[in-house]
Formats: sequence, C-alpha cells, structure tokens
Amino acid sequence: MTPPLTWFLLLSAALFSVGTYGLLTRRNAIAILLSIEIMANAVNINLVAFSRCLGDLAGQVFTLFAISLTVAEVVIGLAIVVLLYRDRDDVRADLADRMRG
Amino acid sequence: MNVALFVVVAAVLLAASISVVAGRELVRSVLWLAVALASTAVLFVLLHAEFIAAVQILLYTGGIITLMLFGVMLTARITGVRIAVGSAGRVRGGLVAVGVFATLAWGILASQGTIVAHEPLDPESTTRLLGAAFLTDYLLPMEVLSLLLLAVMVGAIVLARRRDPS
Amino acid sequence: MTALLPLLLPLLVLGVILLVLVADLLLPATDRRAVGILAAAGVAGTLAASLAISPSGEAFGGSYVMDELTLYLDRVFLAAAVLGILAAIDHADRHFPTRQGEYYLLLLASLAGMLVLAGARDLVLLVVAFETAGMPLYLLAALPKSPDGRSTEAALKYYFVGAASTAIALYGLSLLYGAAGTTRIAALGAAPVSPLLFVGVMATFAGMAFKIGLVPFHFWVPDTYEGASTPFVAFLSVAPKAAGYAALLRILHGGLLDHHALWLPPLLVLSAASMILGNVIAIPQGNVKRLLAGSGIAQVGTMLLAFAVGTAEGVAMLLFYLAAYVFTNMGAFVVQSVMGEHAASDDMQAYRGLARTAPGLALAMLLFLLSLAGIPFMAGFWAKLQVFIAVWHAHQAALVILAAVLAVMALFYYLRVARAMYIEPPPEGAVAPVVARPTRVALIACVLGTVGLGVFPEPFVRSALDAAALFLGQ
Repeated sequence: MTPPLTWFLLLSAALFSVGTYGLLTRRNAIAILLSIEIMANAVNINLVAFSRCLGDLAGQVFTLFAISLTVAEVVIGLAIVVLLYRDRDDVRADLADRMRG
Repeated sequence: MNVALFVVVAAVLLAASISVVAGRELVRSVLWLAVALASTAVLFVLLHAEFIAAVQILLYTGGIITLMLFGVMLTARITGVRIAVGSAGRVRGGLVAVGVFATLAWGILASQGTIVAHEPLDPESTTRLLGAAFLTDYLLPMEVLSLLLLAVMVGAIVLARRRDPS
Repeated sequence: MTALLPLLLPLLVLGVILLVLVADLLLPATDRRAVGILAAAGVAGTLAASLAISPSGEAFGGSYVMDELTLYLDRVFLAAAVLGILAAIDHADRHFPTRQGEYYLLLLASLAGMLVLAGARDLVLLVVAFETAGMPLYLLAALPKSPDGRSTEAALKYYFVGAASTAIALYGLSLLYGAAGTTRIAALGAAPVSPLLFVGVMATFAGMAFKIGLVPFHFWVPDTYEGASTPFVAFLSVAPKAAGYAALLRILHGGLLDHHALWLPPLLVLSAASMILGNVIAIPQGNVKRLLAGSGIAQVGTMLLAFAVGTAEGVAMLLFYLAAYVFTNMGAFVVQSVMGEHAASDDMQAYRGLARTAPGLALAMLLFLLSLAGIPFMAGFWAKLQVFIAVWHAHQAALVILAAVLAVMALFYYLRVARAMYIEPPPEGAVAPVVARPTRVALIACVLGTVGLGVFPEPFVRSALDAAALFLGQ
C-alpha cells in the first residue's frame, strides 16, 4: 500500500520551508537559485500526491507544466547571473586598461 | 514495504535538501540537489506516476544540474547579491522557515478528511491519457508554453552574446 | 477556424511577433529603428481590432473564455504595450541598436501571455499564461545595460523575487487543486472550507502580490525601478500589475467568491498597509523613479481595496482604475525617461524650471501628477472617487477615510515635482530636452487618455460595470 496523502504533504511542506530558509539566508546568486529549486520541487510532490489520491489526471498534467516552467526560469536566471559576472569582469578590464595607459 | 521505502526516501530527500541550502561549497550544493531531485523521482514512482518520474530525471536531474554546474563554474566569484531586505541572518531565516512550516503543517493536519480519496488512476494507461490530455484539453497551455520557450531561448541567447558598445 | 475566434487577439499578436522576427532579419544591423515602429503599429492595429470585436465565448472546452472581462483587460494590456513600445523605440535605437528586435519580441511574448491570462478559467492555463507574461520581463529588465551596470543587478533582484513568488504561488495553487480536486476555476468554490483551502488561497495571493508590488512583498520595487531602464519601467509599472489583478480576479472572484469571508480580512489589512507604506516610501524621495515606485505601491493598495470588497461595483472600479493608471503612470514614466536621458540622472533637480525651458513637457508631467494625486477632471480623480464609493457601499467606511486622508498626503510629494517645474528657476544655460517622435506620440496618447478619461469617464465606467456585472453574474 501507498503511504497516506498527509505524509507526502507534510514532507512537501518541510521541503518548502527548507527552501524558504535558503532563500532568505543565502547571498550567492546560484545558491539562491538552488533554494528556489527546492521550493519548486515541493510543489511537484504536492501535485503528484494529490493526483494519486484524487485519481485525477490534471495534477500530473499540472506537474509537467510546472517542471517545464521551472526549467525555463532556471535558464533565464543563469543567463542573468552570467551577464552580471561579465559586467563586473568588464569593469575590472576597464580599470586594468586605464591603469596601464 | 512501500511505507518503509517512503520513510527512507523522505529522509534522504530532506537531508539532501537541507544540505543544499546549508552547504558552504557550491558544487556540493548542486550535487546534493541532484540527490534531492532523484529521490523525488523515486517518490513519484511510489505514487505510480512513472512518466513524471522519468521527466523528473531527464529534465531536472539531467538538464538543471548540468546548467547549474556550468553556472557555478562560470560565476564562482560572484557573491554579495541580496534578495531580502538586509538578507536575513540565520536566526531570522530559521524563524521564518519554522513559521512557514508550522502554518503549512497546521493547514494540512487540520484538514485531514476534507479531501475525499477516489479510485486511483490505472497506472497502465496513465501515460497514454497524459499524452491525449496534452493534445486535447491542455493544447492551449501547451501552445502558450511553446511561445514562452521561444522567447526564453531568444532572450537567453541575446543576453549571453556580446553586448553593443554603449 | 471559428473555434479559434475567441483567441483572435493573442493570435494577432503572434502575427506581429512573426513580422518583427522577419523585419529584424531583413533590416541591416545598423538601422533597425523600423522594427519598433512596426511592432507599435501592429499592436495598435490589434488594439483597434479589440475595439471592433465583441465577446465570442469559450474555447478549448471552457478553459479559456473571451467574455466582457477578458476584452476589457485585453484592451488595457494592448494600450500599455503600444505605449511601452513607443516609449522604448528611441531608447533602444540609441543604447542597444542591434538588439532592438529581441526587445520587442520579448515584450510581445509577454503581451501574448497577458492576453491569454485575462481569459484563463483553468489553473494550468492560468499559470502558464501568467508565467509567459512574467518571464520575458526578467530578460527585458536585463537587456538594456545602464552605464553603471546597475540594470543587471536590478534585473537579477527582480528575477529572484519573481522566481520565488512563482514558487509560492504554485505551492498555493497546488493546495487549491488538492482542496477542490480540480483545476477548473469555476469548480474551486465547491471545495469545503478548510485550513488547507485558506493556506492555499493565501499562498496564491502572496505569490501574485509580489508581482503586483503590494506590502509586505514590495521591497524590490524601488530598487528595480531605479536600476532598470526607464522606458521598460514604464511598462513594468503598469502591465504586470494589471496582469496580477487579472489572475487574482479570475481565481478569487471567478472561483472562490463563495468563500469571500475567508479572504476579505487579510486583503483589507494588506490594502491599508500598502497605502500607508507606499506613501511613506514616496515622501522623502529625491529620485523621481523611487518616488513613483512608492506612489505605485500606494496606488495598487487602493486598487486592492476595490478588489477586496468582492462586489460587482468594486471589480468595475478596479477595472476603470487600471485603465486610468495605464495612461497616467506610464505618462509620468515616459516624461521621466526623457528627463533622465537629458540630465543623465533621475534626480528631481533635473525638473527645475522645466516650465520655462520645455512648457509642453512640463504641462504633460503636471497633468500626470495631478491625475495620480486624484485631482478633479483627470482620469485618476474618477478612479479614486469611484473606488471610494464602491468601498463605501461595501460598508468599509473606515478604509475609505484612511484612503482619502492618504490621498491628500500624497498630493504633497506629487506637487514637489510640480514646484520644481513651475516655481524654481531653470539652471544657467538650461536647454529643452529632446523628445524623439515616437516618444512624443506616446506622451500625446497618455495626455489624451488621462484627460479623456477624466472628462468623459461614462463610456469607460459603463463598459467596466458591464464587464464586472456579467463576470460575477450579478
């Protein structure tokens, strides 16, 4: 038999809270992104568990869309982080040029 | 049997997630995330959502972890980005997290029994039904999503390429 | 073909996207200004089409509906997009000439998401459309690079807030799905009242409130507005807020109005908090973008008041407020984009003596400020007054009095800008700022909208009332 729905929901709630903790305390951009992933993962557990308990397909469909959206979001996040990195690198390069000249 | 498996997987999942947010070494955090996402896939198998489990492994564990590792390699030196007002310390962050968990757990425990369990889906036909749903009832969100993915792809490429001289 | 008729407006925007892609490909990298003009013309054409059509019913098994509410919101989104594109043309051509096409592509994709969102009656469609409206904005925030590099940091902050709020909203929606056993919004109301439902509603609301910029989820607003490019902020300051309210209308009014008592008290508290804190943020600002950010927080708080009361009159006045807000707030940001470019700073000092150096621009800004403050015969006056009346009818007199007092207080900081323009002398050798032609068109449209809605509010109020009454079935 499958464990009861409540167990899955409580596990998901715990994961969501862990993600929230990371979101609030981490300062590194990638670490924040990882924390948000933990939160998004909790959502998927909720959806699939509900889908199983309700015998309803919509929860699984919802999960697949949620996964796709999260992947798109990560791509954007990394693009912006890389951009920020290069901006700062540009600044360093500018300084180096000026000091030389 | 399944209950025992659930307890083990849940413990691994929780421990891995805590390691992700608490770890100091970024690369390790990413690898712990891989563990967390993979153990989530095991949970999905337990829930008879085999297709979702496969997607979880392919897209999340495969795609996102690779992306994240690239991200770590490219940007190891960036620090000091703050999200919250004055980026909460560990104590405040911990208090908020405990508060969130308490609220959610109250909502879940106090609502036991309001959700009426139904006959579960037939695991044999779930994947086929999913495929059909994507091409019928959920065709519109599918199309909207494809537009979003196009926009994200174009946008990410244009950001990653060299900038105009400004 | 007729099955797709309800989706005519998003499909037209898709057509504009294709045109933009092709034009971007054909034009030489050195001269792509025409892409923006094409995009603006295409969206303006879609707006014209939206004025000509009438609601055409459901599509895709009822998960999407083109009703009076969808049509009204679509017009608001389309107007905001036309103005947002027009305001960006000169800026884009100057600062990132080779990447203009991508800028408009992202803005149009966001617009298409909003158009679908307005009519979403299924949680899955609503989430996908909401994210399609939201995600391109993160990229748009990062695309124009400010000389000091702050725009990328502003974009990253906006992205983190957006991604985290999405996770929160999705968590809430997953609980709503579980509590109701369906993703059909119309059937959510059948869910039994339970703590789970309450937590789900609140998490969903919190996720959306982040994007609207409501207290206590507002902390990112001043920084992002200050750091991002001003023409983009003009769009950002109205369209996503309208999208957030559209999503909340569909979920809370469309699905959970039977449980109104569940969500009314927290929303009223947040509305009061937003109105108070927004004004507190705006009062001491010397930076015009930060001032407008604070004012925006207060304005969405007033809108939340109209939203929360849960009556058809309240919904109608929220809709009218959104329309007035598009012209008024975008107008103010467009003026600021001109002034910021001219003075290379967003400080209020740049406005000194503007009435003498550029009387037309000063007058336009004065009109926008008066409308934001809610002075009679401006769009913002009717918006505020009608919200107050609707909230009064819903027996929330104390909040009406609070809102009215704060509106008078707000006059103080709006008039500080006016004083700089009209009373202080211009600095030595001040010259009039150059207003490019597309920007001028956008400004004229904003002035016409602000004054037009102020002098002839009836047709707009009536169509808002119709939309709200039909939506709520009252």
